[in-house]
Amino acid sequence: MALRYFLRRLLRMIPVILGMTIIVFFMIHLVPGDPARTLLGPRAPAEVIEAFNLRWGFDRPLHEQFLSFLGGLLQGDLGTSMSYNVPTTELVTGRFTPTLLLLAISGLFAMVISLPLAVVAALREERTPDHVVRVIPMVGLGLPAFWVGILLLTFVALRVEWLPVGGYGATWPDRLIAMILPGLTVAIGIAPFTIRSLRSSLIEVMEADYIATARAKGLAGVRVLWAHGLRNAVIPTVTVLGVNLGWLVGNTLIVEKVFALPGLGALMIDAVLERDFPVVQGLALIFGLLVVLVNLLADVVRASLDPRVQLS
Amino acid sequence: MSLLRKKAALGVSLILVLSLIAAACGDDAEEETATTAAAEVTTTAAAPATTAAASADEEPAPDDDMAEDDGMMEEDAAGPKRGGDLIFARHRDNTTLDPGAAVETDTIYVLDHIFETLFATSADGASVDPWLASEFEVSDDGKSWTVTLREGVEFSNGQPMTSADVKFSIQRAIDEAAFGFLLSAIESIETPDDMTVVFNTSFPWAPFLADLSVWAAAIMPADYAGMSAEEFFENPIGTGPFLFDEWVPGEYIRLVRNDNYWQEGKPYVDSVTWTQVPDDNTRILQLEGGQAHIAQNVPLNLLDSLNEKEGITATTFPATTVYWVSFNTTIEPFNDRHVRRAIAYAIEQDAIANAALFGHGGPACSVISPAVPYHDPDTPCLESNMDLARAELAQSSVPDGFSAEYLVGDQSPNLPIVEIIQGQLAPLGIDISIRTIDPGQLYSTIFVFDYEIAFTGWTMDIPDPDQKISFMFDPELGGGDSYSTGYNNPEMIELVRAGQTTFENADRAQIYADIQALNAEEVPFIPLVVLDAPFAWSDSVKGLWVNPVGKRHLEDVWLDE
Repeated sequence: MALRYFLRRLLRMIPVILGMTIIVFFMIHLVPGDPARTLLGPRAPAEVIEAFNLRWGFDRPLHEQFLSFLGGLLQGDLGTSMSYNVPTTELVTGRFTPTLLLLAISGLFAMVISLPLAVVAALREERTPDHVVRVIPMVGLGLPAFWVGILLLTFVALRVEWLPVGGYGATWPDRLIAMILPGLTVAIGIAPFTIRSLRSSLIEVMEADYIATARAKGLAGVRVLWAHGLRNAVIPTVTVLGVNLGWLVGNTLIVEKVFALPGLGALMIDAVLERDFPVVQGLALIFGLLVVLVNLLADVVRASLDPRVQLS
Repeated sequence: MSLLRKKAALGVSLILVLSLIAAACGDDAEEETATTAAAEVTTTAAAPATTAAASADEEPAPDDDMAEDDGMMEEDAAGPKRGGDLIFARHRDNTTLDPGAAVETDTIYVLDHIFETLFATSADGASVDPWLASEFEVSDDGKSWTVTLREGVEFSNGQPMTSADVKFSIQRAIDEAAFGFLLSAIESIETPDDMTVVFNTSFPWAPFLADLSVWAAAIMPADYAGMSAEEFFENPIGTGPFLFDEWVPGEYIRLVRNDNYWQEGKPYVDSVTWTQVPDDNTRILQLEGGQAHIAQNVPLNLLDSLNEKEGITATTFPATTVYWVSFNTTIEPFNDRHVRRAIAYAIEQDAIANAALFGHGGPACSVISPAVPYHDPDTPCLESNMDLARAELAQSSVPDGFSAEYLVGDQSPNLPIVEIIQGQLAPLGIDISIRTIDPGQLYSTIFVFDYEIAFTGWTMDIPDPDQKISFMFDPELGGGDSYSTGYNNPEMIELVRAGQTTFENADRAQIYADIQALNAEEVPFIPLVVLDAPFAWSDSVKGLWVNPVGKRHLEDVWLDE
C-alpha cells in the first residue's frame, strides 16, 4: 500500500520535473547574456568566440539545444560546465555534502529553538511569555541572512577561538563545528515559522478530548504534553518545514556565500553570474528535485506520526 | 497531489527567482574576466623597494633552520625565514590548471606560480625582462628574435628546460591557447641548439617580448613529458616556484614548494593555499581572525579603516586599470565630436576620483595608465570647464542638449561614478538615464552596439600598450570595432600600426604620445579614473609585492609567525 503510494508519487514527479526542465532551460537562455563574452572577456578575438560557440553548440537553434540537453538528461548527463570544463555531475557531487549538512543542521537548530519556545508560549497562551515568543522571533524573519551571518562572524567567530571565521573544515569534526554559525543563521530565519505553527497547533491539540482523557487517566503533565500534545502538534510543523524548503534552500545560497561554504548554493551563484548554462540547469533541476523529494518525505513522516493520515 | 504540485512549483519558482535576482544584481566581488578584473589587477612600482626596506628594519633573529640551509639566503643571516603555509583569501576559485585555457585573472595568478614565461614584467611594470630567458637579440630587419635560455632551469620533475620545450610550448600556445592570438606574429620557431630559440615573425613586431610574457606562453615540458594533455593538466609540471598539490573546486587550491626551483633559496613558504571566500566582509574578518594571511579585492571604502587595525596592512598597489566613458559613434549625436568634447569638458575627474574611489586611485587623463610603458603625463586633455563645454555643445548638432542612456555594469565602484557624471552633464541639458546590467554581460551588450554611452575600461595583461591600443582604435586589426565604439579614424589607425612596427624606444614613445593626444582631442573615449588594486595582509606577511599587471611573485613572500 505504502509502496504503491510511493511509486505513484514518484511517477507523478515526472511531469513536474519535465515542466521544471523546460522552464529552467528557457529562462536561463532568455536572460540577457552571452556566455562566450562573459567567460572569455572583451579582448577575446572573434575567432575564439566563434570557436567557443561552436564547441558548446550555441550556434544551433534554441530548440535543438534543448533537445540535446534533454537527451543528455535521460542518460544522466547534465552537460559539461563551461567555466570549469568538467562534467556538471562531477562538479555537483562534490558540493552536495556542505549543503545537505547545512540544511540538516539548520532544521535541527530550528527545532531546538522552536520546541521550548512554542511550548512555553502555548502553555501561557495570551500571557506575557506568549507575547514575547510571538514577537521576538519575528525579528529574525525581518533580518536578512547575509547580515545576521556577518554579525555572527564579527561578534561570535572572531571572539570564540574554536569557531572558524567561515570556511569548511577538512575533517568531519571541523566541518560540524564550521556549520554551527551558518546553521544558526538559517535557523534564525526559519524559526519564526516553526514556532508559530507549533504554538498554534499545540494550543489546539491541548484542548482536544484525548488530552482531557489522558489527564483524567492521571498521567503526569509532562507526559501528557510530550506523548500526547507535542506528538500531535508537531505534524503540521513538519509540513510547514517541508513547504518552506524551497525558501530554505534559497536562504542557504546566501548563507553559503557569507560563510564561504563550498556548497551547491555558492556554485549556483557563480554559475548564474558566469552564465554557465549547464551548471545552472543542472543545479536548478537538483534543487527542484530536492524540494519535491523532501515534500514527499514530509508526507511520509506525517503519515508515520499520525495514523489518521492515509498514504493514498 | 495538487498540493504536491503547488509545493514543488513554489520551490522551483523561488529558486528561479533567486537565481534571477543573483543574475540581476551581480556583486561587488563578482569579477568578470581577465581584462576587466579591475579592482584586483594590481601592482606596484614602489612596492619591492618599500617591502625590502621594511624587512630590513624588522628582521627577526636568524633561526636554526635557516642557518642549516646554507647559501639559500644571500641577504645574510637576518634574511627571510623559511617555512610556513601561506593562506591567500580571494573571492573566486580557479577554473583550470591549463594556461592555454585560462582567461580570467584569478586563475592566471595561481598558474603563474606553477608555470613561468621566457620574459616577465618588471616590478615597476615599466619593462619586460628576461625570466626563463637570459638574453635576446633582434635582427636588423626586426623579424628574427634569438633568445638564449637561462642556465640551470629545471622543471619540477627534475628534467632540465631546453629549447625543444620552449618550441613545443609556444607552438601549443599559438595553436590552442585562448590568448594565443597575441603570438600570431610568429611564423616559425627554430632551435639551433639546446639553449637557443629563434623566433621568426612574419613582419617586424615591436611588442614581441611583451607578448611572450603573456601567461598563455607558459613553458612546459615538450610533449607534456610523455603524458596526454589531459593527464598532464591534472598534475601539471612547470618551472615555477611551486608545484600543484590539491584543488577542491569551490574551496581551495594548494601549491607546495618546488625544490627544483631555479631561484636559489626560493620560495620561502612551504605552501600557498588560495581559499575561495566570496563575501567581501568575510574575507576581511578571516584576515582579522588570523584564518587568512592575505585578502584581495578589499572594498575601497573599507581600506583605510582596516589599515588602522593592529596587525593589518591594507593598501593598494598601482594597477593598469583605466575606466572611461565610451561612445557608440555609429549613431547620432555621438558621431559628432563636438558632442563628445562637450561631455569631456563637463566631466570633472577629480570629483569622481575623490567620491567614488575614496582616495585610492586617481583622475585619469590618458587612456594609458601611468603604470604602463609609454604613458604620456603631458597628454593635452580637455580640462573640466563648463563654459567651454557650453561653447562646444553650441557648435554641435544638438546645441540644446539631448537625452541619452548610459550603460553600466552593476559592480563596485561603477555606479557612483556614473551618477556623478549624470549630475555633471545635467547643466548642459544632457539628460542621462542609467541602465545597469549584470557586469558579466556588459561586453556582450556593447559588442552588438546595443548602447549609446557605456562605462568601460581596460586592464593590461602585458606591459605594452599595443594590445589595448589596437583594440581600442583599430577597427580591423583589433577585431573589436574599436572596442565597440565604431570609431574609425585613418590618422589614428596609421599611428596604431606604426606603434607595432617601430622598435626605437623614443620613436615609439612619440607615436603613443600622439595616440593619447589624438584621443584627448577627438574623445571617442573619455578617461575617467585610474584604479589601483586593493590588498590587505597580516603583519606576519613579509615581502609581498604586486606589479602593475597583477603578478604576485609569492616566491618572494615569507612568513614571520
